Amino acid sequence: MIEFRNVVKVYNGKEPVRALNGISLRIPDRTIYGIVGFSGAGKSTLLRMINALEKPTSGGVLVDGVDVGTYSGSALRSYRKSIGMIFQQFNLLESKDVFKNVALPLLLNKTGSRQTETRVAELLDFVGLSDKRHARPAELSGGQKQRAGIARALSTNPSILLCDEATSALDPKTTESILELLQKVNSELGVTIVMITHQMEVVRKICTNVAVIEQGRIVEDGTVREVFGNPQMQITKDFVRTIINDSLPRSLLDRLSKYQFPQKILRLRFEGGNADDPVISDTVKKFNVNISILFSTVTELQNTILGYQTVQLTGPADEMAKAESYLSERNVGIQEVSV
Amino acid sequence: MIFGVSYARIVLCVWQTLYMLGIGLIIGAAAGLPLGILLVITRKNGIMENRLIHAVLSIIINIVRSVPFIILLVYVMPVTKVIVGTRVGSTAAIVPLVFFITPFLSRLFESSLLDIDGGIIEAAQSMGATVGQTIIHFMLPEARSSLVLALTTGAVSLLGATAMAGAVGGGGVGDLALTYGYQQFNRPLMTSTVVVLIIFVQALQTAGNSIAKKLRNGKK
Repeated sequence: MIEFRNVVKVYNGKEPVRALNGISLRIPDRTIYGIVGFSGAGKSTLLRMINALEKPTSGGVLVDGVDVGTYSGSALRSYRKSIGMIFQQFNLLESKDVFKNVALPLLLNKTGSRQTETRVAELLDFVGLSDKRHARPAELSGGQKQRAGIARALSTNPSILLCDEATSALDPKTTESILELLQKVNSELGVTIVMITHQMEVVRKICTNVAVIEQGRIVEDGTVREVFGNPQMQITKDFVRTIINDSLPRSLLDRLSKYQFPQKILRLRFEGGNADDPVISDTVKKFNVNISILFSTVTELQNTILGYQTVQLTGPADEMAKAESYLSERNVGIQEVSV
Repeated sequence: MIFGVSYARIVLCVWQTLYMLGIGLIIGAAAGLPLGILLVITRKNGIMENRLIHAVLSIIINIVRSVPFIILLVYVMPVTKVIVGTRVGSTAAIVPLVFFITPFLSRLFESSLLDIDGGIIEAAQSMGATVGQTIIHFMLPEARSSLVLALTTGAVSLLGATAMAGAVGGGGVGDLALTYGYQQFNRPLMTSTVVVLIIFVQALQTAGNSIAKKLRNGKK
């Protein structure tokens, strides 16, 4: 368990900058925890506090109940060895081949050469880079570099892996394969993964939990299903919209606003089990209403389906009200959209 | 005889130049590299930040570098006398040459080491590397090609300085040009010593470039 307790970070300069403004957050073991925010929101600082590369100005970061600020000297170094870290720019040594890069943390631990040999071979196999053991970073693609970075970070069997925009420099297809690898790290090795990113797609694909950070504050956090399914804050809605777009085009809204008969524009949310029920069709048959689908989208979150439909409901007022309550009964989330 | 100077004399002068250059460079690099590293790690946000050490070191280097070599040559004579036992000769000339080249090399090495991507140092810290491990396993390997180029630049400067060392009887090609060429109006001899120095510089630079290139690409 990683726990942030009211963490504040102020950078002193000509004008002091409050990078973190009272962060409290719990990251349970074995989760894949996404921290999203725009650049400059304080994500990097937050991540680097977990392995004490940054120190809080006030407040504390507790990992397995110990305040990491209390570590220093060799205790700090051995603590850092229990945490792996990968980077957007990979940070591999250009002067060494893949094998030597992956073996670096073992070298720092003065691990024997035979043990190093077996461990590195095992790691390269795990990340799918066995055929590149003698290649130098300059000869690798971005995805291969990140695989080498992951192997290096895992070499000392860390319980936590920190990912600093690990896929931001990669193309979508490579991103996907790296995310699959990270998921494997989490599920097979039981490593807690904390990743900071500005890509909502990354969070949607592998994170179990997410926190949204804005101007040094956590504005929203929870499981990915909770936060994506029902975003509360504007910034969260903006982020969610980057992958679940449900905003109606201007021209359509204009046309709807000129509609002369009673109508209601509703945003319906279908989740999990009811996503494939013929709810809309049932409603139309049961009540004297018409439902016209304006916009529809479906996405997969944590292996469950989340669908949104924006519909126009027309008919006599009392029938519309009945239809609405019927929809709620069928576990459809309803939100009225104003036009 | 070549241009009125004995063949043996010329060989001796070339040898003296190589001697002053070689020994001066070895001692200068051996002292300059630790100083360059110290400058980098003690600077602000360095891995062993220490404003006092950094400031003192930086000021001393600047002071020594402010003194023109020809003045340094005579100024350090008492020190030379203590170390070498004499103030003249090729070995005596090495002392001022080291005083000249060490601060210069430490600045060159400093800038090579500062060019290392900050991410590499951060990676080292995240792996729990000690300061020594960071220097040996991260900084030096990553900067090695650039360090070789810096050393090459230093060697060329040092070669120029050895020519002046003739002033304290250091001998060498430069001395040959001054005493036989300039003072005896032997224009052809002077020209040929210049040619020899040009060849030296070209050889040094070519060797340096090719080693740096090899370190950057080929060797694993």
